[in-house]
Amino acid sequence: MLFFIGRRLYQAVLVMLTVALIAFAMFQYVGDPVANLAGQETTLADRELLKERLGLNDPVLIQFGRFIANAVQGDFGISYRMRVPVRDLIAERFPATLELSIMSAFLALLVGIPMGVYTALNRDSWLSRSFMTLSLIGISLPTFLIGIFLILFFGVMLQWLPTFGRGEVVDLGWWSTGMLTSSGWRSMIMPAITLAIFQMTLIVRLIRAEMLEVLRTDYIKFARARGLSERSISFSHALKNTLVPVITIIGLQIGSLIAFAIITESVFQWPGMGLLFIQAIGEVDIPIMSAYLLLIGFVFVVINLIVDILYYTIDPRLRVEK
Amino acid sequence: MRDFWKRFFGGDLWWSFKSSPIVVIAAITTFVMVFSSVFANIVAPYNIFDLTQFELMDSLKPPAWMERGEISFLLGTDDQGRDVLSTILYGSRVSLMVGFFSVISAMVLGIIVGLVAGYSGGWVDAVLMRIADVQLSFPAILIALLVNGIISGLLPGEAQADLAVYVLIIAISLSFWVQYARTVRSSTMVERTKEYVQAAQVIGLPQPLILLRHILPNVMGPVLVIATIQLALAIITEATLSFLGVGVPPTSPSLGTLIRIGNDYLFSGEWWITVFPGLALVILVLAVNILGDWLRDALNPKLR
Repeated sequence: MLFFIGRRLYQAVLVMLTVALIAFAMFQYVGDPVANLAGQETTLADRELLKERLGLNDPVLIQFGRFIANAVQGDFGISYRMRVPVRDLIAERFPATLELSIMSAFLALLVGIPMGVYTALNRDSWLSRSFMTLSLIGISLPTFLIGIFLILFFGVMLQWLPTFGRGEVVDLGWWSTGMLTSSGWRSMIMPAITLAIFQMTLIVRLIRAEMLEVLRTDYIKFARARGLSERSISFSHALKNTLVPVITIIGLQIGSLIAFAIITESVFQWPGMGLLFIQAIGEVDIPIMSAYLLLIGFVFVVINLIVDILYYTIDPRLRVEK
Repeated sequence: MRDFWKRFFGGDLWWSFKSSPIVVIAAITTFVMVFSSVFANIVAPYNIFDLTQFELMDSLKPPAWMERGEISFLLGTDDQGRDVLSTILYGSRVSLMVGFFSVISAMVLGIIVGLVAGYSGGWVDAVLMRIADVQLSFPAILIALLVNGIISGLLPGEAQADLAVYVLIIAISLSFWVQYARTVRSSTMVERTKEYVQAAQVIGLPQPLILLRHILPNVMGPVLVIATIQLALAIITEATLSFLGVGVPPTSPSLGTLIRIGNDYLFSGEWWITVFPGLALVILVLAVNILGDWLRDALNPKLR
C-alpha cells in the first residue's frame, strides 16, 4: 500500500513539475513582462531596474526555482492588465466556480445514476430507449448551446430565471456564497444544469454499459439461482460492482467540470475563475493564464491521486497482484 | 475497382448500413450538409463576402414565415443585413474545414508518435507515453484554449486574424493526438513481433519503410473509427473556441462565430441569428456522431 501510494505521489509530483515548466515557459517566451508592467513613460534605466527587481537577469534555472517557490506560497505575480496580484483575483473568483461545479456534480449524479441503472435493468422499455436517444443528443449538444437555449426559453421567453451573474451574494469574509439568498439559488439553476448535462449523459451511458456487463457475470447468475430477490440482486450485488469503474470516471470528471465551467461561465457571465481565464487569454495576460494552469493542474493531480487510492482500496484485485 | 464495389455492396458493412434507417438518414444529412457547404458559393442564395449583395436596410429581418419576414430571406437576416441561411452555409464550410484538417493532423501526429513508441519501445516509448498521460489527464478543450492562447500571444497583432484558422487547427490537433497515439502504439506492439515484420527486418528494409508500408496498414482500422468520432468532437471544439471569442474571427465566420455574434441579439428578441446556426451545428454533430457510433459497432467483431 505504502509503495503504491509512494509511486503515485512521485508521478503526481512529476506531472506538477511538467505543468509548472509549461507555465514558466509561458512567462519566459510569450510577451515581455517588463514591457507589460512598465508604462509608456518609464525610462530605460527604470526598465533595467524593474528587470533586475523581477530577477529576469538571473540564470533560467534559478528563475524557475524561484517561480516554483513563489507558486507554492500562492504568489503568482501581478496581472499585466489589472495591476492587481493574481492571488487576490483568483481568491475572489474561486468560490463562484467551486459552488457551480459542486452543484452540477450533485445534479449529474442524482439524475444520472438512477437513469443509468434504469436503462440497464429495463433494456427494451420505451423509456430506456428515449433516455438513450436523449443521451446521444446530449453528447452532441455543445455546452454553450445548451446554455443559450436555456437562456432563450427560461430567461427571455418565459422570464422565469435570471440570465447572468450570481444574484445576491453573501460575503463570509474569505468566502462569498450565493447559497444563502433566493436570488443566488435562482441564478444557479441554469448554469448548473448547463454544466451538468454533459456529465449526466456520460454517467448514464457509463453506468448502463458497466451494469449490463456485470449482470452477465456468473456471480449474478449464482445469486439468481440462490433465489435472492431481483431487487437485492440489482442493487446490492450488481450496482455495487458497477460503481468501481464509475468512481474513477466521475472523479476524473470533477476536474473537467471545472474546465467546462469556463464555457458555462462565459455564457452566463458567471463571475468565476473560468471567466477570468478566458478574459486573460483574450488579453494575453500571462500571469493569470499560468496561475490558472497551475491551479487546475493541481486540482487534477490531487483528484487523480485520490481516485487511484480509492480504486486501490475498493478493488481487492489490485492488491493481490503485487 | 469494380471488384471492390461488388465486395462492398455484398459485404456486412453495407448490409448493416442499409438495415438501420437512422444511420441512412444521418448519412444523407451529413452528405447534404457537407455538399451544400463545400459548394456554398453556388448553393447559397447570397454571397456573404460580397458587400454589394446585402444592405443595412434589410438587417434583423425575421424568418420568412413570421410577420415582417420576406420569402427572399428564408431564415431571416443578421445585424448587417446578411441572409442567415447563406451565413450558415458559409459558416459550416469553415467549421467543417477546421474540423476535418484538425482531425487529419491529429491523426498524422498520433500515428507517427504511436508507431515510433510502439516499435522502438524502451525509454523513447516511456517518455512519449508519459507525455500522453499528462495530456490525457486534462480535458481537450483546456489544452486547445491554452495552445491557442500561447500561439496567438507569440504572433504579432496584425497576423493574428489572418492566421487564426491555422492556429485553431494546430490547437485542436495538439489536443486530440493522444487517442490515436495510444491505439496505434498498442497495436504496433502486437504487430512488431509478427513474422511479416521479422521478415521485413531480415531482408534489411529501413525502419521507416517497415513502419509505413508494413505495420501502418495493419493498425489503421481502429484509427479510422476514432477519426470519425473525433470529427464530431473537433467540430464542437472549434465552435466552442469561436464562441468564446478565441477562434475564427468574424471576418470569415464559422458556426461558432455566428452563434457568438447572434448571442448579443438574443435579449432583444432576434433569436433567429443564434438559433439557426446553433441548430445547424447540432444536426451536423449529431449526424456525424451517429455515423461514428455505427461504424464503431459495425467494425467491432465482438458485437457481431
